[in-house]
This record gives sequence, C-alpha cells and structure tokens, in this order.
Amino acid sequence: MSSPTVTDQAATIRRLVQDKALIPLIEPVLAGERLSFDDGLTLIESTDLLTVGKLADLARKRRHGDDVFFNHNRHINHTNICRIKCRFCAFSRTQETHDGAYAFSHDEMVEQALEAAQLGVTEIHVVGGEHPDITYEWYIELVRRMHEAVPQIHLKMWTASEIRHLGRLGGGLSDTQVLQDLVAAGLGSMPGGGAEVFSQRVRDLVCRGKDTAEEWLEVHRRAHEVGIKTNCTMLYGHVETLEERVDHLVRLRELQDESLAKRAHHEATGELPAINTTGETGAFQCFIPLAFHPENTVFARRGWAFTAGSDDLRMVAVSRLMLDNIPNVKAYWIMISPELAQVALHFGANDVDGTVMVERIVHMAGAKTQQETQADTLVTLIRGAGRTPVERDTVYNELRRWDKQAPTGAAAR
Amino acid sequence: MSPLDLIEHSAANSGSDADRELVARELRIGRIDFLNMYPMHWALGIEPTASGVPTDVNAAIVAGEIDVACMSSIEYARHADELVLLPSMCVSAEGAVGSIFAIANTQFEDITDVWVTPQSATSVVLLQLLFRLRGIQPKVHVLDAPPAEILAAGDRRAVLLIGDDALRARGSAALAKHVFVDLGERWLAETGLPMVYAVWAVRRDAAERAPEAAAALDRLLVASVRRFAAEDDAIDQAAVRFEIDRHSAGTYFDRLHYDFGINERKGLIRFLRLASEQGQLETVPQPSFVEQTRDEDDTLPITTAGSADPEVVRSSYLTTVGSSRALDETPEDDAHIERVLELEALGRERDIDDVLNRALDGVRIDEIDAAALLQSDRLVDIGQVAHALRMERAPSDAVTFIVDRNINYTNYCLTDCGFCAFYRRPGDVQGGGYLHDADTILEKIQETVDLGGTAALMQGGHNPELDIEWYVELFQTVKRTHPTFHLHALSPPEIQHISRRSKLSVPEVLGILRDAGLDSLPGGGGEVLVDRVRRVMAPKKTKTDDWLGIMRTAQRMGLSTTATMMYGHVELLGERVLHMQGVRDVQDETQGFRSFTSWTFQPGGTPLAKVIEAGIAPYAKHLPPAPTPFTYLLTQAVSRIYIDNIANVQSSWVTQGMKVGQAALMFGANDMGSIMIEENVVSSAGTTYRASTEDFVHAITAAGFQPIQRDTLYRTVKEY
Repeated sequence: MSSPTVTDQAATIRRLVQDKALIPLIEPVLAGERLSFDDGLTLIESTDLLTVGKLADLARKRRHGDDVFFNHNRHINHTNICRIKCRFCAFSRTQETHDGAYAFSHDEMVEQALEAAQLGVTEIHVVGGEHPDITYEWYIELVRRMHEAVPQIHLKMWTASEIRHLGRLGGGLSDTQVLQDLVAAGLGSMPGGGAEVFSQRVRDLVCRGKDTAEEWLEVHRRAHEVGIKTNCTMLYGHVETLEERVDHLVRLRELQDESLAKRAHHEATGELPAINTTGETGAFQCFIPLAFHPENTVFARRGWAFTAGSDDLRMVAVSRLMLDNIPNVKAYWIMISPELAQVALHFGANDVDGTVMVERIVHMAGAKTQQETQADTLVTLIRGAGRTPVERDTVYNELRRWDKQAPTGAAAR
Repeated sequence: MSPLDLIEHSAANSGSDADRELVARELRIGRIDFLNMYPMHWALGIEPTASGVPTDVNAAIVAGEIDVACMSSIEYARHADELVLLPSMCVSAEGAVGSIFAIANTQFEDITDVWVTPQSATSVVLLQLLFRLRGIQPKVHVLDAPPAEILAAGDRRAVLLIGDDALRARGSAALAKHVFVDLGERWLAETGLPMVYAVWAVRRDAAERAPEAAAALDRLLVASVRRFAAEDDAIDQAAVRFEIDRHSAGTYFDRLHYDFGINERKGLIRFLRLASEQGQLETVPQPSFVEQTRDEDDTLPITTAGSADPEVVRSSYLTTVGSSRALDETPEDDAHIERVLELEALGRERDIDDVLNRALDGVRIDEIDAAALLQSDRLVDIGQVAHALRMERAPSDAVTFIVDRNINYTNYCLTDCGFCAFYRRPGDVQGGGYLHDADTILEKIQETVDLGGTAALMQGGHNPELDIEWYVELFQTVKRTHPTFHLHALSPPEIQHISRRSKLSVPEVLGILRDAGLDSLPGGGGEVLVDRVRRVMAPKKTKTDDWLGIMRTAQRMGLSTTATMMYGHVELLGERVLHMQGVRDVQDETQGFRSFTSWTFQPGGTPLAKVIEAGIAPYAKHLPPAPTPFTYLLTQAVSRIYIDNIANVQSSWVTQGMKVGQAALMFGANDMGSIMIEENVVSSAGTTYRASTEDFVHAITAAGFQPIQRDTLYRTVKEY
C-alpha cells in the first residue's frame, strides 16, 4: 500500500466533503498555509465534523507522525479560598470560614510532593484559589521548598491570573519581577489555565473581577521572554459564541508568533530579550481545550448541558487547524472522558495529558472520570487508536516509547 | 458461637502445611467475626487466639494479647508505630461496598446531623472525611434509637449503618423513601481510589521475632482467598453461615477485594492523610511491611476474589455454561480458524483507498474488503465514507430516536450464556429471580404510554414455565388496553424456546403470536453469528442458521425485525465479518431487517470475562485486543459500508456513553436508539448510563441534525 500523494488526498477529501463551504480550505490545509479568522469560523460552524477532523488529522500527522504523548503527573490545588467568584467554578470558597475551605501549608505541600516522587511522577502541577491573605514571600518560598524537596520533578505552577495576584501581594511588583523570582526559586514552567474565553463580554458574564485577556496574554508574553515555557487553554461550552472561540484561538496564535519570532532572533543572533534570566526563550508548548462542566455551578440550575461529544471533537480539530504554530493539542481526558479522548486522537490531538493524580477543581464540578488511571490504561487507549504511546516530560522530551502494536491475543487484555 | 467457627478446616485447608505449622507455633492470631473476613479465614486452617467484633480485636492486638489480626484501617493507623503490615492482604472495595450506608432524609450536601454507632471506627471517620470533602460539618451523635425514628424526628438528618444493619436497612420499607449513600461509592467518586477498610497488622515485636512466620501467614491468607474464589460452593457456605441469601452474599463478595495492590496502598494513604487533616490522627503513618517471601512455584496471578487459577476458571466456566467442550480447540475449528485468518491476511493486502472508492461508487464491497477496513487505523476516512453512504441510504438531516421501554419480563433462564450478567437459574428466587405478571407488565406499559412512549421491547430469559399460552394471553391483554401500542418482542432464541416448549414449529409459533398482537421481532441473541464462537460463549443457545432462519421466516410472514452484533469477546476479527455477511445475505433475500446495531461486550464480572482475562479462550492468541471506543466507531462505520442493504444504523449510547454514542452519528449511524425507560440486562453488567429525551435532543442538535422521535417502524412521532 503506497501512501496517497497530496493531490490524491485533496481529491479524496473533496469527494467526501459534505459541507461545500470547506472545499476552499482543503488545499491551504494540505499545503500547511495559515488559516484566517474567517476560515476558522467556517471550520467551527461546519456540521461536517469528519471533514474538519480529517483536515486536522492531516495537520497533526505532518507534525507528529503516529506519536501520542502522555506524562506521569500529579495535580495539587494548594487552596480553594479565592478572592474572585468565577461563575463556572465549583471549587472556590470566598472565605476561610466557609465550609470546606482549605489552604495547605508549606509542609503539607512538600509532603504531597514527596509522596508524588515515590510514585514516580515527573511533573507536579499546582494551581489554586487567589487567597487574599497569603503573602508574596509565601508563594516564592513554597516553590523553593518544593524544588529543594523534589529537584527531579518538574514544577509547573501558577496561571497568569495567579502571577498577577502575586504581583499585587508583593506590593505592586511587575510581572517580570514575579516571574524572575519564581524561576530563581525553582519554577519549571507555567500551566495555561485562567484564559477562559478572551472576549470581555464573556468574562463580564462568567468571571467578572478576573484579569482581562490582555493581562493574561501579557503575563505569558513576559513569561516567554524570561524564558518560561507555558501552556494555553480555552474553557468552552458556556456563554461564548463560536466567533469568540475562534477569536480566542487567533489571539493565542498571534502571541505565539511574537514569542517564536523572539526565539528565532535568539537563535540567529544569540541575543535574548532584556528580561531573560534563563538563557532560552519560552513559547506555548500545548493548547488544551477545556470542556465546561456545569454541575455544581450556577449554570447547572439553568439546565445547562455538558458539551456534546461532537462539540469536544470539533474544538480539538479546529484548535489544531488554527494553532499552526503551537506544536501540541491535548485531549484532556479528565474533562471529556477517556473514551472520547481516544477518538480525539483522530481529530487532531496528539496528547492525552497524564496520569493526573489529584484534580480537585474539575472534580468538584462533577467530572465523572476516575481521577487516577494507570499509565497502562493510557497506553492501551493510545494503542487502541492505532498510535504510538510516548511518555514525555513536561517540556516534551521523550522519556519512553512503546510499540505501536499491542501484544496480540489474551495477553493484551 | 461465631459463624466463622463452623468452617470445616480439614476439608478446605489450602497453602502449605509447613507454613501452617510455623504460623500456629509462632503467632497468636485474632479474628473479626464479620462476613468480609470469611474468605481469608475460610481455608486458613488456624484457630484464632481471640475473636469478636472489631473493637475487641483492635484492642487485643494493641494490648499485645495477640500478635496479628486483620484490623480496621483507622485503628491500625493510631498504633502504626507498634505495627507492621502483611504485604498481600487487605479488605477493600473500589466503589460501592453495599454494607456501609449513610441513610439521609435529605441530599448528602444538606445533612446537618448524623447518628453513628461507634462499632466501626473506620466507617465513622470515612463518613466525616466525605462530609469534609463536600464542605459540610454535620454534628455527630451516638445512635440511640431506631434509624427510622431518628430520621422521622427532624429534617436534614442522616444515620450511618454498617454490616448486617445496613444490609437489612436496604430492604426496609420504613427507610425506603430515604436517600442511601454508599460510602465506598462516594469515596471512589471523591478520590478515584479504592477504600481500604481493614489491613493485616502484626505487632512489630512479633514480626521481628518471627519474620518467617509472618511471611508464611501472608502466603496462607493469599491461598485461602484464592481457594475461596475458586470453589463453587464457598459463597453458598458463607451465605448459610451468615444467614443471608446467596445472591446478596455473591454480590457482597463481588464488591470486596483482598489484594493489597498499588491502588489499595494509595487509597489507604489517601484515607490516612485526610483523616490526619481532619484531626483524627496526630500524624500520617508511613506503613511498613513484612518482607514477602513467595514460594518458588507460587506464580499464579494475584489474589483478588475476582481472579483465580486458569484451571479453576476453566472448570467453573464449563460447569456454568453446561458444556464440557466449550473451551476446546477442535480439528474442525482449526480449519475454520485457518480460513478466518486467511480472510484477515487477504484483508491486510487490500488498498484501503481502493475499497473506499468502490464503496462510494456504489459497488458492493466483499468480505475481504470488510476485513481490510476492520484492520485499518484510518478511522476518520472510513467514517467519512460511512457517513456519505448513510446520507445516501437514509437521506435525511434528521437523526431519529425512540421513546420505548425495555421490559425484561423474566430473568429465569435455562440457557446459561457465559456473557450474561442478568439471568438466574429457574427457581432461584433467593438470588433475585423473577417473573413479571401481566399486571406488572401492563403497569409498565401504561407508564411508558404516559411518558410519550410508543412501544415496548420485551425480551426475557428462556423460562421453562412459560409456554405459548402465556405469551398469547399477555399480548392479547396488552392489545385490548393499548391497541396501537407496538410490541417489539421475543428475539429468535426466545421464539425457539417457545417452539420447543410448546412443541410447535417456528412458523406456527410466529403465526400464533402475530395473531395475538406481536408486531415485530428484536435482533437480540445474535451476538456473533458464527457457530464456533457461539459454542464458546453460549453453547446451549440458538445456532447461527436457526437464528437467521427464524428471522427469515418471521420476515416472510410480514413481521419486521432488526439485527444486532455484540462483539469483542471470544471472536476473531474476521468472524465479525462473517457475522455481517450472514445478516447481509438474509437481507438480500427478504429485505426484512429495519436496522443494524452493534456494540461491544460489557464484561462486568461475567463468567466469559473471567475466561478472557485468564487467557483460556480458544484460539486466544488470534483474538484482537479488547475493543476500545475506536474499535466501536470503526466497526459501526464498516457495518454501514459493508451492509449496504439495511437502511438504518443505530448507535449504542447505552454501552458507549453519551459522548461516544453521539459522536457515532458521524460514523454511519442515523439513529440514537431508545431512551430506554428501563434497561436491566446491560446495567447488570455494570453499564449504567441513563438518558432523557432532553439529552437526546441536545446531543442530536449539537451534532447538526434534526432530532425526530420515531416509532418502531421509523415513522415520525414528533419533530423537535
């Protein structure tokens, strides 16, 4: 069997396309050309999910072949006390005295880090509420103590919103200062949470009081300049329109262009951004579309439904196609179920996240998937999709590779 | 006297006698006289020095009156400095445990006061942790009155019941209106981990003095549990000793696990950590373990009550399905398998693009093509072609669904299918066997009609008590009250059963039932229509030619029918193709199948699942890996492409979940099936998805289609 040429592929896709509006996009996608905002809208509005998926799958394959990543990670949410009241959040408590409010101490965090280390975790992911009474020094010291305790584990900590919060706690410190202090204390990289949907209209509705899109992007811009690799996300499936989803993707893409240009400049000239303290330039590593879970939020009372499987697949596919400069797109199984995450590997995703040991935030909103799965479950899922499982570290270095084929027969069960 | 004192040690001892002598000489053992301890003591063959309720045994080991016991997790933790653990055994459950309930007269989150018995320290702590994880702190009181009275005396109250009290409360009419929260289930939902209720702890001084004896005891316990799992009548004995019915005992032991694996260890640590956060423990203990020294020849896979020695699984399976040859590989089968493998090999030679292009051109693809597609990893390409063909064969932007009810009128069955988690042997009333009477069935039909339903899917076990008269009377009664209500009833194996039971030919049976009101036949009992496979999974069930023959007869008599495939168990990939071939061939003759539905085998602790797990299915080395959602979507798409003469393909959200069930609409399906007002058969095997009309409308609309409620014959009932 010879693999089809690009022309063959275009002809096949054209033959199968149900939505004629997609036809003009086939050649550009196959040629790896950048898609416009309008193209994005065409893709996301199309009901021809399979053609969109097929295009995304080709884009994925061009970059990653058959490899699908996962990692061995653990999430710790250091506190659920939060000054903001995001309406999609089932996790936060606004007062320490509220039932169920908690805040871990340094010792407790270190203890959990040590426990994670025993389980062979390579990454700890820490985010939490924006606790009004914790000091700036507490945060920096936490990173330092965790890094000291488990230097072998990559610390992926704090969303952009929390970086801003730290700056305020520090008495008006700049993003740059905060980021540099964190890196000096042992921070490895930053997760992509808190982006929600960039549209201010949406933010006013669902997370009034949280920083703006520009602020979120600015923190990541500075992080990249300091030399921190970061992820990015979008929380979809609530009040946002399809246009606002595409707008979100385009804004991420624009920032990534900037950051990659700085990286290219560094590679060409050896010059680094002025605020850089790490000797390398950062950028977005991975985009994670996050399906909104209405349970236990105000939206559940309004009868909001979970995102449909087709919507989750569509988001993965359109993200892959629009974010041509972000290497990885993740099917986050905790949010969309392990079953659908496997299917998403054929709709543009090349990562399924990790073994994720504790995820309180999503869980309190009723994510029903089991919080802890063994690596071998993920290996089975990836293989079952006809792909090659690759364990990675946080910054996408390959740690271990499995055969694509599962052992045949009963042994595979 | 404790029920555990009645164990016949001499008959049932397992493990090595040398180990037994060593342990008996060196260690004083304690024993909690609860049902959950039974499997570990069942074939241990050592008399305990002390026994009693948990508080007694916990106290005895702490006081040094005994050296070793299985004790409650929280008590162990309070004295962890003085204790070490045996490495292989604990008592745990991943999810529902069925004997520890918070019974509340409100939602869990709204409870303000709870009454507990101090009898089980671990459960009380567990309940408090669960409250805390939900952010509530109800006041705790000591249980001093009957639960029903306490719950009646005020709002937002709960009572914690464990053990026998909990089992009894489950069936109590006085408590039936309250919310039952299974703490094990809740714990799993909160933490994703099994809950470890008890651990085997050895006093540190004893473990240091007699390490070999401790290791020997660990081995003996493993052997006892393994033996318990393997012996057919072990659960019966437990049921008799503890005076509960066999079915309850079986369910209870299905939920318990004794293997102290990595997940159990994580669950224990998580529990202790949270207990410490809560102030129940001063520090989080770091458990230390007795060093494990396994026998050289002791290489059997681990010790949960669920898995066992392959030889034991084999003999138990053969007994269950009632055929000594069900797991054999025979020369005739060898030849068949060779042909199937040849089909698969030829498939691998085919060019996928060529196959797909032919299908799109309207050229019928052959079995080798289908085998090619089933082995491909090009899910989206194959899905696209399936979807294009769906738009041709069911040319509509609508996706249909039906509001109907599954009425499984009886679960008594003689056929003993290895994959069935639903049936009970005739007469097994204790075990939950039932036969609905006409009134019950009519009531269910009335409810269905009230909910806007148009039909009932009636299927049941092959119950020897039911002859054709029973069905005739039932159908006539239904039709008298609800003349337009559609009776989609009796799969081919049931028709065959009635024909044998009433000594009538199949056409006679079908004619009589049609005249009594039977409207159409469901495609159940098809499984995989290959006799080699059927001999393994259900040796007593209708064979392929009979199944297809009954359908053919029904169709010629004007009864419309549906076709199904349940795969992913003991069949080769190529045998799925043979199944589809059989269905397509009959359809060529009759055009009598309205729809085709495929789904994956739901293992859920069925005897067949144990056979597959143990690797003793015939031709195991040729079986494909267990099916995943990818397999499901691909197989459905291939069925749409290959079976070119059946108009409707139904997705199976019940087995795949709503997300994948909905995505399946892009892979050749044009129908979401039924909202299933009642689904007993699949939910017995652990699949418990539920949906409402609203969920269906949302799912279908989100996929870009128009939702239409249809009747059984695919006529529009309501457009959304």
